[in-house]
Amino acid sequence: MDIFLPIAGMSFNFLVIVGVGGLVGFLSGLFGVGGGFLLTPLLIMIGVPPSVAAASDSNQICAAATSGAFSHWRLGNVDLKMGLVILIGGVVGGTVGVQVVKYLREMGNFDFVIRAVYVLILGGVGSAMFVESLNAIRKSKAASAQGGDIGPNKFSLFFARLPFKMHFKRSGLETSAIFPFSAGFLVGFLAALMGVGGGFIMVPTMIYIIGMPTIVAVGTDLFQIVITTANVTLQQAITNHTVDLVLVVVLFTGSVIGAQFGVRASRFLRGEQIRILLSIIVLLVMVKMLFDLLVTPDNVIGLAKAAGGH
Amino acid sequence: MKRTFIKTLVFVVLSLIFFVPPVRGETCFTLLQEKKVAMGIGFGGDTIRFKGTLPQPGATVIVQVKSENNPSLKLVRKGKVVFFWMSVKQFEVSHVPFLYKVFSSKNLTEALNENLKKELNIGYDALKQNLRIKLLSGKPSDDDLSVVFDGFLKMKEKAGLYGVRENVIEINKENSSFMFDLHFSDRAVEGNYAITCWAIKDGVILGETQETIAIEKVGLSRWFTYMAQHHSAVYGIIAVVIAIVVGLLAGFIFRGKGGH
Repeated sequence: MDIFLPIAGMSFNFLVIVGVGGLVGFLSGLFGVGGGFLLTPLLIMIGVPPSVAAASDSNQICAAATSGAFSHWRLGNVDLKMGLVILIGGVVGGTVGVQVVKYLREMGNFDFVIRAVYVLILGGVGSAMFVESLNAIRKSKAASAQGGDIGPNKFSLFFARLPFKMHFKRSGLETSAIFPFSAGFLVGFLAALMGVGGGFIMVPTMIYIIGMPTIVAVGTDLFQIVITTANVTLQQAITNHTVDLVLVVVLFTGSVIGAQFGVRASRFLRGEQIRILLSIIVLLVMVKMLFDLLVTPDNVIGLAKAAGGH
Repeated sequence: MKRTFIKTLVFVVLSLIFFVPPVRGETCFTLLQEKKVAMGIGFGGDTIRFKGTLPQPGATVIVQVKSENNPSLKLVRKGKVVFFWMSVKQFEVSHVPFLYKVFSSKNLTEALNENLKKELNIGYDALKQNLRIKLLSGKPSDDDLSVVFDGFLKMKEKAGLYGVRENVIEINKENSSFMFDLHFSDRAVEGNYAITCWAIKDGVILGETQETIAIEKVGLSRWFTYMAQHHSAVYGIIAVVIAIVVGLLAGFIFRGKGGH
């Protein structure tokens, strides 16, 4: 049962695309990540051109995140105020990041720089999450009603003393707006540099540095992902003409269902269990990228990489 | 005088028989049942059947398929720097077809002598001679042309866009006609594809025919491509609206099932 993707210019088995969408949708609902760091490599692995994979991935994630965000919003897990401040920081960081990307491209070998940054960031975030979650599980810390939250730490205590104080009711935090804005800026910057949604960086940042309850971090992150990916989809469609709506619609079919199951599954897991699972996936992606950098490629000749990503 | 005339006549007749090459038959032998390949949403590649009559028994049939629209492309060459593989050079590659396939009823080495190979400009060697590469970044080296060409071939063959397949054209028992199914990969792009067919025997071309097949997107596939290329802002807005509506719809559907 083949389906032709008109923008990608190739056909695939319908069930393969639905399966890829379903898997990523499930993880999106479970961890509150956009899944871009998984979906783009998976689509490229099955043969979709990188530029089409990255652009269509944004659009698909927009749908999956809308579904997940809506479910979390109904459960009261979205801190709208926090989400907006982070979003503003993300837009500024993303704009700066795009300029840095342009500069790096002019310098040459951008592809290698991206992969190396991926390995470092994923390795750092994944390892930290893994070790912390493992310790939490070992010590059998009592999970709170929100599920294994980290609570105030030295970062959040430091930022609480800075100006532009705001009260974030849903997160139970009284802190400076500089704090979530900076976090959003950092994630937006890295997202532009690394070509992904940034949820896998944002969720740990919200939990470990801002000190938000895990489940609120997941819901709020999904909210900001909806806005970010909608903007990226529009930009990709106008600038690169690489959004494949047929691919997106088929991916939706699997992902929106997968996301609902992911949200349900998250209710049966404690915060530290969600974190350890996410950390394992992050580390696996990191190992795959490191492997690609070290192992002799099948073919030393390849197409020059097209722009893309979000 | 009469004897001289007869000798001259015999000489001319023998010359015509032995030294003048046979005229290529334009009527030749290929028959395409369809000349258009439609790429709709359900397209997964297509097969076109060739049928034809051999001008002489025992002739070898060779079919060459070549795209007519062949834009240049940028390729990178990877190299090892310390422990890591990274792009070390970038090239612009031109004068090579986007799609190139050759099929034959016998081994090409048996059917084609060196002169015929040059005349027909056929096979990977001919492509390599036509190929032009321009170094865009990195340091030049002597093996650039061969490494780029070999890697390029590998890449194209993997995508099903290049191939040389011998002994695949079927000839009937009477040695009078042939049949061949040409498969167009789903990776082929819109445009015209020139199909040239030769019948060759004893190093002589007995017949040659050229036909063109057009590949076109149709229906929704055509509409999506047109919108994405010519009304990209509208296309982008449609994409975002669909994403949000489908996402919300899924949320409502699942709420209905009382999940939370």
